[in-house]
Amino acid sequence: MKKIFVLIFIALISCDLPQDPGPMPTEIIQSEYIPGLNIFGVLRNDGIPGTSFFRVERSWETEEATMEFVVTVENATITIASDSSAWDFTFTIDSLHGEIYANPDFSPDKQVQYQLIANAPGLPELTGEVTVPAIPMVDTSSILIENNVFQVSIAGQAEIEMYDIVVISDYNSITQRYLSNGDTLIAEVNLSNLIGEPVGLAIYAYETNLTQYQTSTMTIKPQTYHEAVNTVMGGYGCFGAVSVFTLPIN
Amino acid sequence: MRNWLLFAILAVAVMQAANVSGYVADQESGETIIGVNVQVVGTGLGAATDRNGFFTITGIPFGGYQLRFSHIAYQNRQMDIEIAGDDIYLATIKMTLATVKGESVTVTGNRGKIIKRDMDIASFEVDPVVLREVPTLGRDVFRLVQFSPSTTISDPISPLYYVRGSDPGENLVQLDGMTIYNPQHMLSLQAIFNPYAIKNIEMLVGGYDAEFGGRNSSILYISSREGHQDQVKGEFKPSTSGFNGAVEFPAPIGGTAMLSGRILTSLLNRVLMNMPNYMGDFNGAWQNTIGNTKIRLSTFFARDYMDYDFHRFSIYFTQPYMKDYSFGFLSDATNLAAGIKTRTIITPSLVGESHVYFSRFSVENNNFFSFSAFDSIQNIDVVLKYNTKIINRISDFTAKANLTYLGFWNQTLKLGIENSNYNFYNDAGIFSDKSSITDVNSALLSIYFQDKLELGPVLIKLGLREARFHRDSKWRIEPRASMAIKLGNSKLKAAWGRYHQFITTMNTQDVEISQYLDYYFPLRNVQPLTSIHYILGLEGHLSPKLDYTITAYYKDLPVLYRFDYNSNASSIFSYGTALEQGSGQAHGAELMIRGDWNRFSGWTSYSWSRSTRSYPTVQNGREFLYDGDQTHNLKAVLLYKLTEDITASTTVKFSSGYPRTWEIGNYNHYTYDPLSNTVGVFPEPYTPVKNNYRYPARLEIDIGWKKKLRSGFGYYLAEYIGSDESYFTLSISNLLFLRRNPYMYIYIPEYGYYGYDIAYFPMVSAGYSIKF
Repeated sequence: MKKIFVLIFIALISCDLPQDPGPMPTEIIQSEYIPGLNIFGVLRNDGIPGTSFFRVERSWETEEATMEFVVTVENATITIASDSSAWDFTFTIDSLHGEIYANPDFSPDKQVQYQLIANAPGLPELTGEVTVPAIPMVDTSSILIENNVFQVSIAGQAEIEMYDIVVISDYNSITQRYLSNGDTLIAEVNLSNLIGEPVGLAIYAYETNLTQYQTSTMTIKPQTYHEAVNTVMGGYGCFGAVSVFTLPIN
Repeated sequence: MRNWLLFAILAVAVMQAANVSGYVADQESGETIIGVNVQVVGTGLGAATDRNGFFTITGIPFGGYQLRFSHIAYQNRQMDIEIAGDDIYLATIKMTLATVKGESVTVTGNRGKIIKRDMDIASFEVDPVVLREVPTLGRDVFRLVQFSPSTTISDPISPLYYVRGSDPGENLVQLDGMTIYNPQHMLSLQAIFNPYAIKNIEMLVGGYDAEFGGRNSSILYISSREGHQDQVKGEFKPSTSGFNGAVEFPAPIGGTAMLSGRILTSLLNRVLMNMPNYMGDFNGAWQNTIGNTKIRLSTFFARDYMDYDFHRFSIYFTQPYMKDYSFGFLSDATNLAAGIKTRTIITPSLVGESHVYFSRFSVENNNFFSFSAFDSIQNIDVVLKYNTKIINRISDFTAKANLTYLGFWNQTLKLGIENSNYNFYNDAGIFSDKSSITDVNSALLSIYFQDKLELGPVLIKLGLREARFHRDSKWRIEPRASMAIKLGNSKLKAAWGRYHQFITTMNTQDVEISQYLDYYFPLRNVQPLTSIHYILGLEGHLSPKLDYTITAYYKDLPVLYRFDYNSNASSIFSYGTALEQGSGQAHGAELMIRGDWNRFSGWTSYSWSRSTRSYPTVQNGREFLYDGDQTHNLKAVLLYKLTEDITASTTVKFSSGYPRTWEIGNYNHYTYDPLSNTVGVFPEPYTPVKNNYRYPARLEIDIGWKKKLRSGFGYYLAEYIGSDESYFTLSISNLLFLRRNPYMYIYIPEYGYYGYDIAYFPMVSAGYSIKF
């Protein structure tokens, strides 16, 4: 009997209690954390100055995370440049966007390539480039609403990779996403979940960077391999552009 | 000159010989018996009955002989035969059960011994009585399969298993020869086969014959019971979660029949959480013999439905941080199969088989996770909406036939043809993106030839399989070869084979909240999955009742595919571009000891293995450890006969941890809403190196107890309803409950990582079953 008690005692002391973290994994391949700026910048070609913006943060090591830690970078320098001009974006707090970098005078031109250079103390320089797509060419005479399906024809444009077609009512909106192959697109939106009558149409055309980033998946499971999709160099995130077409519907 | 003389003597000897074949069946029930040793006394010639209960002994020289039939659970039987010219077909030989008391335990231990091993160098064969005798196995085939030395798992809450370093999608599961797709219940993570309906479980883990194709890693062949010829027999097992029953009886239209069914639900989830769920499976078989033809009709149906929204926990645990919180999944899966199989003894030397069946699996799997929370730093609402939807369906209409000829020179020749018409339907989507629909028809045509040659102590098998996935695609050749040499009491075995697979599966475990299933896709216009097996084995006896098997293997995996679901959701719009070709390898060694030792019986095994993969876009093609790689595995299923009526059992599993990808940093992923021109954020792990960490080793010990009732309420209840026997079972799983086996680590700010386990307390379950 004594032997049994001794065995039970050894078994118990060699175990981990439920409130402990438990045995931890061991590293078998060394992998290096590379700190960097974490950015989301969108150049918005909608004819309204100041609607383009950047959200600028930094990456972090897991163990840094506390309940109130901040990753927003307030002292970065954000510059975009085309062949002819350059613009600085400055830190601002916006009621709609939160903490962003913006330039109230900037309005991107279609089919122009812009370079981004972002710097922040202690972090590597982040760069990126994007070509702003033209505003979608919509054949307004093709718009048709039949059997609760909205239909519109959009002429193909080389630099457009993806469209979001949004039909808006006074109460909600329905979005349908289409990848573009450069040909004329006959887009359809099922309106069965639209509350009320359609009052407006918005078509958003994305270039390569924003398309790739927006269609990349996320993972919420820990300890799973996930290929990072970044459209910038020297950091993390996306520098992309969108062009906007809007039309009221009677 | 001497060689030619030897050849001539052999030829004359063979010409003056004949073959004996026949079925062996149970005297009382009429059910054919697998694994009966049939020996020609005094010659060293013999054979064992196969999964059809059929044996063939080739090349018996002319003369008078005694045939001895032996099986551990049956009384030995002898009969005299006279070999004088033509081959002999003995129709059905009946055997009588030897004993009832203690039978099951003895059979459990000796199963490896009673079957005369043939060439299946890498097989794991278990009498299903183990499922009934070892309560901790939960009467589940898949839990039993995990105790094969060749299997590993990488997720304790998934029923998918890896065999010798190959993907779970490369395992074929057949019920009476019908392919069953995704043969697991999602609710309980167990196989959808009712244990009472199972007659035999055989798992081929590599180096298998040309007869088997379509999967590269393993074949799990499950034979169901055939019915009872005179009486109604069965088992009924009620429980708090549902019922489980089976009945065998003589069919009114002649022949025998078997029906089984289970319906189970989780009352806890249904009542406390208002989460509807149920699972059910039903199996039916009818069999008859007309002349020299056995006809068998098999049907199978299973359904799983789960509507789990963990938001309903908030009924009991309110939290003020998140609004519009929703987390869970909705899964609806259906599995059905039906087929008719014939087996005809055309002549004593020629056996023909045909099989036509339809098998279909469909599932709609929705995962969702969404909430909004106020970000007091940014002073905005953070909104997350994460959902995946996969609708996957595979339909398989297969017709196959083969001829087996007991030919000259102790050869058994087998020629077969198979044609499978498939329909694959897939509709996959992430977030609110328009989903991609793939609806493809394909046909797989295969022919094979197998030659088994017995030359004294040497047994050689040569096979060739050719397959074509489409009319316009080219034939792919799969050569197979194996041999066995008797060395005293031991047998040395070797096998080599090339295997092709034309269906792949999608690994979504990094995307879906839960992956319980394989999603099937055809490999059109690309090379098939390819696997080349090299196996060397030695088996023998440590004592009259204790056998050992040592196996070493190497698998070259030159063509593998990764479904690149993870990198870009738009790629799933066009299914073909989502596949990435890679390669890999697996190698290892296995030792298994099984049999009886004093009052113990069962088996124990140790395996060492390593498996790697390489894909061009994953870490620039650098080789990484495969998800199912577990270096060391020590397993045991042991029974101890306490008394005539009580059997104690234990299952032990110790394994190295599996490799996982540890996040070394984090960054925010942004979601852009163009309508409001705003951006949402969600933290993403930074994982530049796949499988850079290995989880801690796992140790699991469960114990069980089974008692035949001789008195008390259970006994009298059984007696009252006229049943033969009743049993009480008790099992305690997770005995070492204080030892943690984390399968996931969650980082908690200001605390650190916490290893999340699925079982913190020992689980005690009791059962009662009635046999009639």
